[in-house]
Amino acid sequence: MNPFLLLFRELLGTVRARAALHLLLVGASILLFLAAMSLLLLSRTAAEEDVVFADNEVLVVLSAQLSSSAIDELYLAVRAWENVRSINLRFAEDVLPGETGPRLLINAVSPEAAVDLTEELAGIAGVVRVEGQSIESADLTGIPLPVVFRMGLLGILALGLAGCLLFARVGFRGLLRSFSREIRLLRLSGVSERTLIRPVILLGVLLGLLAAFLLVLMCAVAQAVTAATAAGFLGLATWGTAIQTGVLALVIGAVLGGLVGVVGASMLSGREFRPFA
Amino acid sequence: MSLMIQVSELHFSTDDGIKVLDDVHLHVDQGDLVYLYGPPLSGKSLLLGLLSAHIPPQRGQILVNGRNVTRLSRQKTLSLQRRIGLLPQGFVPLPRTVIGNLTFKLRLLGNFQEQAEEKALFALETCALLHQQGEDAEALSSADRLRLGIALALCDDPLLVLLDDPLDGLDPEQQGQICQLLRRLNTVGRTVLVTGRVTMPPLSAEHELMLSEGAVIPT
Repeated sequence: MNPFLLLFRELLGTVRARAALHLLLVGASILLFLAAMSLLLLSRTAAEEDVVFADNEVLVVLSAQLSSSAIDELYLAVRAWENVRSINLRFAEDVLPGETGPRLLINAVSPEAAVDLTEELAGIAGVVRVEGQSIESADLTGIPLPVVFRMGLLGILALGLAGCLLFARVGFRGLLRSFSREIRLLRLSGVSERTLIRPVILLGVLLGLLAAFLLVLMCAVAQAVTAATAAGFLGLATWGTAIQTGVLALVIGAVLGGLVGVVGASMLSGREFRPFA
Repeated sequence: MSLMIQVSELHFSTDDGIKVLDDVHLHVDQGDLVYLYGPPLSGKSLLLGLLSAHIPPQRGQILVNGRNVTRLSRQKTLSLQRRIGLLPQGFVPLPRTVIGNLTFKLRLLGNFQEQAEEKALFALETCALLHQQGEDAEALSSADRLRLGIALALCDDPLLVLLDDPLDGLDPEQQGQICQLLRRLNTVGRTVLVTGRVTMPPLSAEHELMLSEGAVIPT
């Protein structure tokens, strides 16, 4: 066994219950941080929510240059179609804030009819574009979250970060104190600082990876076990999304764990770990 | 005989401006047994910290085994520290077996397990602790703890052994036994520098020096 792994094993061997509890809290804080981060990344805003249509809805964006009589004509013609259940004229601001030009929100008799309508309407003069479930909104996956909830997630993100740094200070201080005689002996013997620091950072990285792995496991279980609607709610409509989220969580978990490890390693410069204080 | 330690014009003051070492000159040849005594807080431990490159000097020159301690790179400082066996004042063993204390240090200095065990057994034999190798180090008597500390200082075959106040707290009989051990270490050609508070220990050192008012005075 090389000195690095040997020292890491010896360091783990000195973990006392109190320090272990604090280090577990570090892991829990990282898990909280990663969960909040994943939810934020997977969620959509309320504005994005507005452009989602029901299966049988079609939104027709008309040219702003179109005269009112031409709009009336088009409105009446479309209303007469068999596959149209209802039709409403709306101003752009009602549908998508910041856009101009009138819109026709059409309710088709069925989702299949909505797809046909989309194709038919796209060929009419004066129609800028047609939006419906079968076109853009189908790409919109993720958890629909109101802004307040997203703000709450940001708060949890900050809480998780602060928690893991705080618990890291307490946990690593306890751990290193119980290892202080060994550290002083090694410093007296001419062991490099790098040799002492690396196992502490590794411990932090492992905590981060463990937390990320737990999150990935939880997401995978949710994806595999729950019903499609529940999985959809979790924003993991596809395995691809789940894997992307998992990989990102592992990377950020390792980085955050490394940061926690650096916090721990910074304590090695304390007087109690110096042979000549 | 070649020079092991040469200290010249060494000064050291505390942050409050109190002069602890004031123009210290010291000359120790290879294979010497030197006893440096002085009252508490006279700077004995500080001098050992400076000689072993654990404390950077403020002014003056320190040569150990021909190397200028003040000008060494970090890497060279570490390799010098590996060749110095240092027993700190008030040594407390690690919470391991007696041999576990030694193998822990030796393994982390890059020795293989077998090599570490071999060196550890040799050091324990030198310090008359071989029969206690499997015992809990924290349960040893104060004299045996000291022997273990000396074994730790010796185990990686150092050029120079620095022992900080090893006789403190021992009864005269124990002091005699430890002094005998130190003389034995010296007879194999190792340079040994021992500090203490007692004026005349049963050490029979070749050089007895006194550290008083920041300066080293031959006695």
